[in-house]
Amino acid sequence: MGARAIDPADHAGRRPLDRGSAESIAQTLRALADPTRLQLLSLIASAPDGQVTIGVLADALGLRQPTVTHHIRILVADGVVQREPVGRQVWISLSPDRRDDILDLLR
Amino acid sequence: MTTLSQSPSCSTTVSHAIGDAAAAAIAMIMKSLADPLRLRMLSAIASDPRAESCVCDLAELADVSQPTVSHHLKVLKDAGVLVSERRGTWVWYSIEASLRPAITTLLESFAPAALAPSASTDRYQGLEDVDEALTHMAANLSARHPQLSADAVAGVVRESYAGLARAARITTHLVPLTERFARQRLADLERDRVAAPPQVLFVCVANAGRSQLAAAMVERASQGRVVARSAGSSPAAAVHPSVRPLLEELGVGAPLEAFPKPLTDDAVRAADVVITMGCGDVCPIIPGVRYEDWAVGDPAMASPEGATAIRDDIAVRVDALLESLLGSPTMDPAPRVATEQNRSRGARR
Repeated sequence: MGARAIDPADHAGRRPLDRGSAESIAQTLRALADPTRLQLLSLIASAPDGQVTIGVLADALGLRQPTVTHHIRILVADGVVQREPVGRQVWISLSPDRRDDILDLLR
Repeated sequence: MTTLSQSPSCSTTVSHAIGDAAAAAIAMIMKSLADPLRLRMLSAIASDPRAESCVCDLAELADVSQPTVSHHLKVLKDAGVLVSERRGTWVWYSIEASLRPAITTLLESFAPAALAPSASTDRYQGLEDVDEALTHMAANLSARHPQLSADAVAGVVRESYAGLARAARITTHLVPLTERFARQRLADLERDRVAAPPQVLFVCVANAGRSQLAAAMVERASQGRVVARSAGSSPAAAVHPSVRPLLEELGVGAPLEAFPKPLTDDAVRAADVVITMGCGDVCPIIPGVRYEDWAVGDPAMASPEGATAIRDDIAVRVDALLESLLGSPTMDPAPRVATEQNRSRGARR
């Protein structure tokens, strides 16, 4: 069930966001709107093969691993980032379907 | 369109992160945008054929007062997203020229992607043992619902988890919340519309205020003679802080008792009455279900006094609803809330 806009202002084929959509997008923006999380995203996005470990992220930003894990969890919960445990390591990468848009926003 | 922000020297394991200053600046702009009303105003300005809008247009769009609109416009202006120009009586707002490409990307590319349903549910898993917990939960619930196939129960459990995880900020309660939500949904699937007590579903956008209050009032005032459910078209991560104390007065303050839940077709199907509270456009219409729309204020945007007034407004409507469902005035009408207040007032003396 998709949210349908009911706004009266329906100009030029483009409609303002309806309320439900605006709520979802605001939620994602809240997840992203943090300097550390933006830096983490830019690190993940620029990693040579598109994925990094928590340890590498922590070292690169001079943060403790639990701090990085906390921020990553918020990004995972919003579906921006995905995590894949391999053995004892956890690899972090951008969610494939969100990758282009995140890169656009980071430019 | 995807120019990788790769640094030239990516021979090292990881290339550079954006700098502290740049990250802080982008985060500041994103924060100014991370509000539903501001996003809607921004998108209204972006889609205005005149490339600018006046406060008067925007107040009409969002159905809020002009001072509210002005406040949010100021936040966007302070963040450097909007510029304004006074001409005659009105101040006109447009998107700051250098940010226009970024805002277009946000609204036309990023926004649809953020709204697209996820293909996989496992990307939400924050904990390795969630999978095991959900499998265990499905087996338990399946034993309680022999009429439903084990696959159907497992499907409901996983969907419930994914639906709650999408909104969750803190994942500590996610598994027990999933269980509560899944139990409600399984009960809804099996509900006998003829024999079961009347069931009401309250739907608002965030399921963090109005719909939670209404459901709690129905449960309490009807003393189990009417079943109440609540849901949101875009559930928030938690009940709104200004509403939590009001729910506590009604006896459902615990995080595990009142938590925002996504709207499902099953919940609508199981209801005798669906009451929308500001999100009528996303509620599926199912034949045989009675629909009402209650135009009550949003406590999320209200002062504590305002939230109390909204609560009282809902209480009056709940009484009328219960009277229509049960055919007689409720034993204990609206002033149950007042009793509660008197009690706390007495305690303070």
